[in-house]
Amino acid sequence: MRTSGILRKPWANYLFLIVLGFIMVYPLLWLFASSFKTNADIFGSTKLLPGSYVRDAYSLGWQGTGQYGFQDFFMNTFMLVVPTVLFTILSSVLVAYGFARFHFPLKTLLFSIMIATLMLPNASIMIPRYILFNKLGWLDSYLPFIIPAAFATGAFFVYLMIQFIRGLPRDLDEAATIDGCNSFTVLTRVLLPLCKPAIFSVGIFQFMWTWNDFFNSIIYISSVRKFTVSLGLRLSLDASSAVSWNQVIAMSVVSIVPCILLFFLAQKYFVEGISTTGLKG
Amino acid sequence: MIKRKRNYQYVGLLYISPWIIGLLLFQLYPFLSSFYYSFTNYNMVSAPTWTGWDNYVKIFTGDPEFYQSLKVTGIYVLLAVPVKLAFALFIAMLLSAKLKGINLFRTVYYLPSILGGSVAISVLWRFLFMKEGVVNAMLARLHLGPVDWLGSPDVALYTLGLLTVWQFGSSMVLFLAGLQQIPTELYEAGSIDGASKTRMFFKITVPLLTPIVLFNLVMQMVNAFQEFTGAFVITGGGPLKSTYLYALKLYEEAFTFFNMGYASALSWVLFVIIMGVTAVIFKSSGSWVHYEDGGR
Amino acid sequence: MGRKKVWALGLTMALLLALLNGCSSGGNEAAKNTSTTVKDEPSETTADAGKPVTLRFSWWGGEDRHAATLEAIEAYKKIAPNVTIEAEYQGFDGYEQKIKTQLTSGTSADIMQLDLPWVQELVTKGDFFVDLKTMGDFNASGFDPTFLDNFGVYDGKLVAVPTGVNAYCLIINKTLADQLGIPTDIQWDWDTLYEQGKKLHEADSGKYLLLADHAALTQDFRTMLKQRTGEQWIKEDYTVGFTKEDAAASFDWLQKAMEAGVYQPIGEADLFFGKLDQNPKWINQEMPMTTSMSSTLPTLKTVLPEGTEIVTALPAIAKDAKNTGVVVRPSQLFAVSQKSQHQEEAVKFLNWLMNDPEAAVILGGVRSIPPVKSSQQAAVEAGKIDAAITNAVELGLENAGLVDNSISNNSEVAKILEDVIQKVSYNKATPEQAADELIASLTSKLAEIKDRTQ
Repeated sequence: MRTSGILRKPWANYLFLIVLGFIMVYPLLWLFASSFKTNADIFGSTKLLPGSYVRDAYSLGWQGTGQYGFQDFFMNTFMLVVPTVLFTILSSVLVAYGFARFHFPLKTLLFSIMIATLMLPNASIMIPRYILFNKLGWLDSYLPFIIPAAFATGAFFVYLMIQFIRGLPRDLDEAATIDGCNSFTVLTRVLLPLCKPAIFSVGIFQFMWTWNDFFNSIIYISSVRKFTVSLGLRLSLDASSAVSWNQVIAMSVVSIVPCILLFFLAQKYFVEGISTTGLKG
Repeated sequence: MIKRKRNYQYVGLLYISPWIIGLLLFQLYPFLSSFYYSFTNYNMVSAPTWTGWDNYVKIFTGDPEFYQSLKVTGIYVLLAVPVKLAFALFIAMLLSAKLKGINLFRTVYYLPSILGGSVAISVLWRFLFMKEGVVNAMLARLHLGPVDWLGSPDVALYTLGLLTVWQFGSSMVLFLAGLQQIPTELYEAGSIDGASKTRMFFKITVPLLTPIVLFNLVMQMVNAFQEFTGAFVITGGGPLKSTYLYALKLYEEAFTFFNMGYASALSWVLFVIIMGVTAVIFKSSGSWVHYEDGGR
Repeated sequence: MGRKKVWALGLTMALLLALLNGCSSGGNEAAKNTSTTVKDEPSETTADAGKPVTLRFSWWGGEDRHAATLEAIEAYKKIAPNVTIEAEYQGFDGYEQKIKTQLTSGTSADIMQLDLPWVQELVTKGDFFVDLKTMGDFNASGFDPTFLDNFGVYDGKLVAVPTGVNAYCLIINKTLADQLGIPTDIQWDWDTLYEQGKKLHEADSGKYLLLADHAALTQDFRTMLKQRTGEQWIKEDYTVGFTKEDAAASFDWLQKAMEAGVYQPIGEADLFFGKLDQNPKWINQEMPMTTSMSSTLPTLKTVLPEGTEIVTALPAIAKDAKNTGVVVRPSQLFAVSQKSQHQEEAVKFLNWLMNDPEAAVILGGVRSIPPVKSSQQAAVEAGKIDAAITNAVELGLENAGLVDNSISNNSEVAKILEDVIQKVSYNKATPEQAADELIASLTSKLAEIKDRTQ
């Protein structure tokens, strides 16, 4: 089934994927084309191709406004995103392992609290959280993103890892324990390699969400020097100032490139065959 | 609640300790504060004043917008979540095929989700769905339409739903990852037994994928109840409040009117609702989710 | 399994509730702490001249405003070499939330750009800003005293100064209007708008006279009311300042105008809510006019082909108007934080920014027309300000109507009107029903707000 796809003939698969893929991507093609259009063309015409080409949107957009340009914003974003992602992976794997494989007091209650933390809308906790980070002296830095990530506060990721670890047969752990592994080496030697798809999912999601985050960033980060890409993108959007939309769109296009690259490079891990031969089935 | 006595493995607590510390340090205080605010009149600028249950009473008896936004959100959740999940699973099945160039296809199908709620999205979506936009231009060629996608109170919510479904990438990725956990031997054994593809789909794929289905269902449901960006950047809740999602109402109270107390109360009402729905899903999951670890 | 989870969820709730009951007083304590910190006396430390000082200056805006303001900051280095100014600038998104969050927790910049309704709200809630009158370094003599009194002075304190003057006006695409045979040199009233709009739409069903989203319609409605009654639409004592007949008559005009195609159908127009310049019918020159604040003129102009002539005129004024209803207000305001460690230096910088001709030439019209006469002259002479904007502001100042009280601009009150206006525009309510609903909703909301503020 996995070798030939869902439809009987490979060409049918291709045809279907191409047609649907085109519909999926058409809006993005329009976005790309728009980075070469004038404002009047972007909003006034429904044609895909520009009436007259604007060639400098990328170079002008990249320079940014005033003191700092997109090379700064990109560097900043990496400084913010990379540690956040690494800490998220590390902490959620550990915590998920604890929840998925061990039986300890109050486990169900703690699990429920963790799920519950996902359910309170952001709007009402933003202010107290700001006050908290202010008291800790973390404003205008990336610590409000990085440190909580190290303590597994992203319940989404923990829960995701739990579901994946629970999908792995316990016989694996038991076999490894017999071979002399302790609980930690069971995790690192046996489960981790099998969790690659999940680990990459966590990494990719956290990367993209942190990368695109606007609302938390704007509240916590004040200095333009420390702005991330998503803040940079909205740096000059104001109803009473003329906005060069082609530059905004051009930078939107550039800003998703790292995400596309990451996904393209990482996606083979989602589909890496896992062999559990001899243990199950 | 009768529990079977079993030996506790305290090392488990060690593994989850980072989360416990994080909870106490970073989450408990904001949560409790917001709960406290929900019983106060608080505008962020002056100190909160205690008003007891007033906010909650007002929500249920004095605020027609609450019911309107609840209705809109309910329809949205019921509509967007199942369609998105079904679509994501379908595409994941297609994309797990070992075809040449499949890597490229996977990336292409994930692209819309990368954009997230960026500014470009609002420009894009309006341009596609305005009265004289691209979609209507295409429909006109088929002698259909025009549909007032975003301008008509009867249609706009569905158009927003379409945006959510379009960004199905994260669910798809998880399904893809989940599909890889299914040992190939099971399918091989199935083929030898002469089982049809459909049969194998329902007998092997679906049961083994259920933990991920549960995860996606819960998460998409939680997200859909809190959906904000699409409506905020594209319709602003209009026309005539037909896309006035709960999160929009909440945001408006919190950050347009700065009624922080009332907004906190609204959050806690939503919290209880989501909690209830999640509880139902978890309760039912015992009968349809299949864990390889035997559900221990 | 499942049952256990449900139990646990229930338990969580119970636990949280229990925790919280015990905790409410603790929360109160924390809140009190924040409020006392806000009221803290300003720090004693005032920088001696020459001592290095760092000031934070925050504003929102677009590219031009950022570039010009940064240039001005650069120029100030020569005047006060010891002062470093850290610029905190961004787009409009999220600025209000950030400023209010910062003010609450005492982390705001030393000098900040604010919008008028925020200032009006903030002054009633705390002592956040320095009284510029008490600061010898600030020279307010160049400002129009009435303008300053109306918008910058609260309880006798000058807490903020206007960054520029902004006037409500008709913005007309003259090139297009001439082609369509629409007069551009008349004083418009509601009847002429209706007639011209109807005629235009009848001749070409794709064309409409006026570009407007529901916020613009709301403003039109308020102007109409003000002209009928000559009074605030919401009175100082939190009561409604008009009768059902007044409202119904104005709604009636609006509904008729909608039907006749004076305005673009609301469903299409509201897609570009708050972004009038992105409306394709404006860009493709199928709508010649809009009623808007003068500061939006540059945005509306850049989307049109080069060489298109844009002029401004007074907004529609009814012939029997008791008040012109023309709104003239600051585009934004600047204030100095009470919590600033270097209030004197901050005020000196603000004084330079507002009064110095060099600063005026650098800033030009990025915050609309400068409010200080000499600065305005300098900017105009340097050719930095669009003549159409100057015209709108001059006309506005000559014909300025009643100055809105702060409750009239309250966001919750405005929202109620917007909702009712939408119903009228979508033809989901008759003018009478709308008038009834408006008065009823306003009355209950005003009571609630009054209750809350006392």
